[in-house]
Amino acid sequence: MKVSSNPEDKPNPNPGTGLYFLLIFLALGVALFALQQMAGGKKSPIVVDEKGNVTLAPHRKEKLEKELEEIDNAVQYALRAENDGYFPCFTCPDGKGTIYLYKGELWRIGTTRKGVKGRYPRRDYGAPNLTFFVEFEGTYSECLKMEKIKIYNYPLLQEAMNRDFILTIPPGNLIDN
Amino acid sequence: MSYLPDDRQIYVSARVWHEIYPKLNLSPFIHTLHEDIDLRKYGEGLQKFYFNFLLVLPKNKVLDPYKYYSRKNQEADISVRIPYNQMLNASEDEAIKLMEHAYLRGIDQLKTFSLKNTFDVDGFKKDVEAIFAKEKWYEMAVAA
Repeated sequence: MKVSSNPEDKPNPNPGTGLYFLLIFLALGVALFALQQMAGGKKSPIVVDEKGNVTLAPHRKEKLEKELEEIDNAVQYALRAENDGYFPCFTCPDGKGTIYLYKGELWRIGTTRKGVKGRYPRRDYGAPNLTFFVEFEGTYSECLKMEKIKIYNYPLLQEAMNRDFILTIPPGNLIDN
Repeated sequence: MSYLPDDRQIYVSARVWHEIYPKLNLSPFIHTLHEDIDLRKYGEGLQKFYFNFLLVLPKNKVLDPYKYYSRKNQEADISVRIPYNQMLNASEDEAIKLMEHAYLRGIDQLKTFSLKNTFDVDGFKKDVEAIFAKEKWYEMAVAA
């Protein structure tokens, strides 16, 4: 009988060892995660005073107030060309994907509210050479309504009518809202 | 005015209440700083500087000044507030002065980032101050 001298040819006496280690590792991870969740959940959402009255815990009250305030404070904005030049166009009929705008012309209408992070990090408005005009301040709902009205009425603007094609919505908007 | 490439070192923009926008003359800042400043002169720690004038109604609770620095991209993005009522009552020259002051405050904020030994913030500020010190520099910039 031919016997192999290569140690790699020897059969593994315990083929499941690696798998066991992996399973143990995963189980430890799950247990740690669960412990963390339990620790985080220790903060009760309610407090009970000495008379037995139950109220919302201060940290939950604070969070609620902050989130309500965020909904109450929003702005409807317009991004307008700061210079004459070509800008991306998401709905232009010629398929070129760009449109020439003159300084001050509208590129995009939108709404943002307090607490929304990262909407335009590093001034990335979606295209360079744009200025962010705050056009209306109000609740989030009011701003969304204003945004919608302005988007739908875009084709009636003189700058939109001056073109030899009709854009249904501003060139920087993708959809009606 | 000169041709302005999309990809450049210095970007100047604004978040502004629409009614006061005519007082905010961004063009001289955009063009002059792009043409006269080369960030490479001050080191390699900053390759792009985005600056944003924040000029909104005093009651605005949504938009705040901010500052970010990306070490990976070597980019800084700083927004500095200009007091609305001061701008409202400012003459053309005074409005430019308010903007200059805000821009220089923005440069000062670069010192709060980890730019030590990689970017000469004082040198950058000094050169920008020299631009602003020229008589009617903003009129020349627009006329050029």
